[in-house]
Amino acid sequence: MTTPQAATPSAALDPAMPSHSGDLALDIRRVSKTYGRSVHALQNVALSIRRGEVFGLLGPNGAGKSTLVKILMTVIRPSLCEGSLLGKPIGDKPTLARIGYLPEHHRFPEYLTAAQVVDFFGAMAGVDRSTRKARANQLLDFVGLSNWKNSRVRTFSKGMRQRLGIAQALINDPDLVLLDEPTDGVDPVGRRDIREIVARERERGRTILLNSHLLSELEMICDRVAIMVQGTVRMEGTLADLTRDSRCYDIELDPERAGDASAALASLLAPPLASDTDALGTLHPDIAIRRIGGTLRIQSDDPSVVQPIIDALRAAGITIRAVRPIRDSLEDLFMKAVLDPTTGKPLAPGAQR
Amino acid sequence: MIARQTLAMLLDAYRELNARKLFWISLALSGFLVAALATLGINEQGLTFFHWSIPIDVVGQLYSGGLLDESTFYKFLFFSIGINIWLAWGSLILAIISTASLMPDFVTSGAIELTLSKPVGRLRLFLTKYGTALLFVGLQALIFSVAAILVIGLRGGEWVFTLLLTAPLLMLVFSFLYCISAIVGMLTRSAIAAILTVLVVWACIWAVNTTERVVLFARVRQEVVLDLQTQQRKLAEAKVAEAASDAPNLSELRAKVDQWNERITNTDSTLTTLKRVHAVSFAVKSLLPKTGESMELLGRAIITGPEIERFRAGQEAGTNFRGDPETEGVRVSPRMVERELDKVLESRGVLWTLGTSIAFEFVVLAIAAWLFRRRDF
Repeated sequence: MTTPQAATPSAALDPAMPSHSGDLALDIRRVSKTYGRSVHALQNVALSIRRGEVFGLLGPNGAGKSTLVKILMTVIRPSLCEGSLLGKPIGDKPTLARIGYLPEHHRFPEYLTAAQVVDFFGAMAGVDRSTRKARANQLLDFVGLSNWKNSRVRTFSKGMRQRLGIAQALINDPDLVLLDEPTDGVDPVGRRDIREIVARERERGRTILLNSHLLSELEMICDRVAIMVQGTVRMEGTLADLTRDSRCYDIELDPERAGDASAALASLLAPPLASDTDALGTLHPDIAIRRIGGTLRIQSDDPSVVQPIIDALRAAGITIRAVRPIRDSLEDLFMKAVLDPTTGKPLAPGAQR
Repeated sequence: MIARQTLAMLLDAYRELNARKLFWISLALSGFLVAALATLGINEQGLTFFHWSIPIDVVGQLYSGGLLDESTFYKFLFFSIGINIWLAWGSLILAIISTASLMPDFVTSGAIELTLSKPVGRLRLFLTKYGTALLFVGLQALIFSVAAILVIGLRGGEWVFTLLLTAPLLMLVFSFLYCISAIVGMLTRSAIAAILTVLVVWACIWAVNTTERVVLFARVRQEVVLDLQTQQRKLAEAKVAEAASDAPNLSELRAKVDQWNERITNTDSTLTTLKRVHAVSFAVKSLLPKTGESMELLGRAIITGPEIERFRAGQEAGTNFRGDPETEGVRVSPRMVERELDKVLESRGVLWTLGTSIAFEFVVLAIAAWLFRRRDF
């Protein structure tokens, strides 16, 4: 069920925007990881992320999201990998100095204080001492831990550890930040704070890859998303692109007069297509109109299409309660991606065997 | 950048050690031991403890006879108790336990991702982490040896700076064992598994070493016996040659020669078997690290040959020695066997002892580093 957007990375990008490799923070093709001979954690994954965008990588547990991120960060060796990260080949160690990374279920040394954690990982990323010291204070303040900077990690709650993780991921002033489940185990206030941090980092021009299965959060902050299932990318693109086919308008009518809608629109509508017998009829060119209870659904995202319908309904004296633009949510897209098209049931979680 | 990262890892190792209570417990025990040894002394009556005398005739006689002076006494004391027992066993076991979790913690899920995602090569990461673990023992031994130098210098009047070799040598001996802990800890992510494996391997090393020593001792003793028996046969043959052909005891003298021949044949046969067994045990030992013998090298550096000879002579003179036991018709002096044994052991040299041990460590480390470089975390 690979969508046209997912066929090649460049095809998934907005054609209005430049997409040559210099504009891409990440450009990978044919990334595969096989454990043993039969467990295919990733299969020919292709992705492109533009510089300065927030990219959401989502999928069910075991879809391969973390494996892909770990391959980018040289934690896992790919079976096959082509492409570049910040213009350098995947696996190029010096490039990692320009990347910030927050792994899922990360564990910082318990004997270190928050300031020492940030300082240590800054030094490991090659940041000089004076810069580290200045940035550590700024970042701990930025993530709301300035009062805890001299407290040991062992005394921190899950949410505080996540904030600290974000601070250490930013200590090297990275061009690209990979956040793997950054809101995992964080309370709603903490989640909102993390979203705000991501939004602020985007404003500063950083590219952010957000790996999560919390769809509502990704929907709020991501410019583009990719949905991975069983080690493959099922969908990729902007939310607008991915939901284009599902966009429509709902006109909510007075329930007592809803039955008169068919007669009121008779002069406007052509008979329904043979393949779509549930529809009341079609508008030119082949825009289906359905009645679902007291609501008319017009399968078009063009507002001009809706106007003559509203006029006809009002002329017939039918009260219109509301007109709403409708589109699939990320959750709807996600569910479409994880459902087996043949059985209609969710695909088995985990890698393909 | 390399220096910055290495410095950060060393600082982190120090913080980690600092956070481990066993590091401080071990250091406190070292301090207590040095202080305890410093309170001991010798005089004409025997041992002294602060201002009290503990009469021990042998020690008093050795001291009075000039066979054991203060500096030699302290050197023996620090080497036999401080180094051979405390550092080589107690401190080493504490170090093995304390550092066993370093590698499992390092590769544990959630921690290793953060480290591997930095611009540091995996080989350098692994080796630096490995090296930082050795700091545990290095710092302990360095503090101990400096304290020991001060005590021997102030109490014994001799500044034994060769004691400073304790730190690198103990680190080396610890590294022979820690390489096993590192590879097991890295593969299993379990400190318990690492400790148990090290203890089992250490026990195996000890068993092989003890077997080789026992067989070597038996072989050397048998060689001494054979040598003495050969001398006795020559004497018997000379007596036969000197005796007149009609001498009444000629047949008795010839029987003696035959008896020596028979004894020599038996001894030779036993010696051949011992040589074979020793060759096998020596070959096995050559493949393994030599923790005990490496520590003995320190003894050679601290206590000189003449000092050992004087001490042994004094020990022998101080005991009620009633003669050597007879074996196969000859009396074998334990000192004679010890001297021959010392010659064999000293012929092995520093290069063989440390070289073969380092080779073992190198192979284990090379496998561990290869696995670490290839592993997915």
